[in-house]
Amino acid sequence: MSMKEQDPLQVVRAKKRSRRRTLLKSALLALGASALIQPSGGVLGLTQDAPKKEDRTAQVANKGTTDGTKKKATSKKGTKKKKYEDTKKEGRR
Amino acid sequence: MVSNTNSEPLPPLYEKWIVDLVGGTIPRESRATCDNCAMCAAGTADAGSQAYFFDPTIKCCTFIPTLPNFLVGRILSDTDPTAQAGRASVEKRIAEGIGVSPLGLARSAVYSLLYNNSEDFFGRSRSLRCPHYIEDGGRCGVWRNRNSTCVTWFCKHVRGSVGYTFWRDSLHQLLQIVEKALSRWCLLQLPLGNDALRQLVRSENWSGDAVTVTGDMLDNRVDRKAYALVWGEWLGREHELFQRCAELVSPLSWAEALALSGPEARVFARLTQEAYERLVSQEIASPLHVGPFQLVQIKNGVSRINTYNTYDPLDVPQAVMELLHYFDGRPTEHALAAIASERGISLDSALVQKMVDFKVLVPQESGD
Repeated sequence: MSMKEQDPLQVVRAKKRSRRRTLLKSALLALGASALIQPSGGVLGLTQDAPKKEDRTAQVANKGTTDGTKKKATSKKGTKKKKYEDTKKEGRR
Repeated sequence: MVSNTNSEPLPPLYEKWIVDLVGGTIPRESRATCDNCAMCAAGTADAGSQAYFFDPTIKCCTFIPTLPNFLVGRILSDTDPTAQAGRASVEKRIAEGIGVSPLGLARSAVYSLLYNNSEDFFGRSRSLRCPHYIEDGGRCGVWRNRNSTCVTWFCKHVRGSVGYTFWRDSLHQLLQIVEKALSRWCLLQLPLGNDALRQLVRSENWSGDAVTVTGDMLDNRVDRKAYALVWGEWLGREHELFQRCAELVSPLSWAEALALSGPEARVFARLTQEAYERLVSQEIASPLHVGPFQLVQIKNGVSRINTYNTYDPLDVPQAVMELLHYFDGRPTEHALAAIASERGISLDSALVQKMVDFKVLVPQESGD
């Protein structure tokens, strides 16, 4: 097929594209904010944004440390935390 | 200051402070509806979907608020008959003694342990439901004196991340600092004796450290000796102390409350003011890029995406998704013009703003 024979096809294609654009322009579709919807509920399994994990403003008085110094309390705390972590692992098994 | 239906209802004490701080009313978060919970499934329309729903008998009240002493006092002093149930729930917490100190009412260590180590419980677990929740009607018993967390937490925000930034990243932080500072300031004004103060500052939670769980705590037993030491001369007069704190704080202006709360509060006050300006602004940044988001579902030509908050996904039609690539850093008006000429679609400025609010589109300079 010669180059000359191909030319008319290209012209037709270009014209078609042009006509389509013209049609789109004449029927311009308008999209408003209502196109976006906030559905009810949240998304399962994607709760890394756990709410309300904060808030240690007021203090607790039920810890049971009546006379320990700060140093003692710190060392006690470290020991207890380890116990707690171990227990948790056992509990999960 | 009288609230109107277009402004978010706030507790009276905080409302006068916040309005004074930001210089106006705060637009209502109408998407977070407590009366008809937006996080609860409506009918069977979403059955079988990937959505996470709350239990309508629990809603977002899967949380025990820490109540600073002055809010406890205000609740105890509220003689309105409609506040009776909430007042009774606070009196019960005080009588039980767990987490009760002159600073206010804190969560038990066991509750915190469960809260911080549970999954898929929020909005669903009756065991972790707030003691101030009123089952009849599903309302909050301490609504008029709810704390900083309950004031500022919303499952969904009308303006997406813009609202989140105002409420959670700014105002919440500010009110928490103020609650902490004023509850301590009250103890100096009463005053609480030095022995009791010494005992109080030794408590693990004074500085926000994690509380370890003892056997007594697991069984909800209160160490009465420690309790007596921390209350000092106020032992047996807990209600009176809380009410005195309320009398001290209630008349404070915002300027006075802020001055008593220190420089950290002033930092967050400024950030809150800035976040408020954005909240009430309709300006659209330019240029814009497509922000990161999680595509969680494609169904019937609609993409459900997750952006700033997993509780507030967005349904975006495929027709809009296909246009996002036009926002490639070129000026926004050029992107809109290209969309109109090449795709025959005119995007309303409100739609562009909503995509910016939800971080589907982000400003070029954004560091988020």
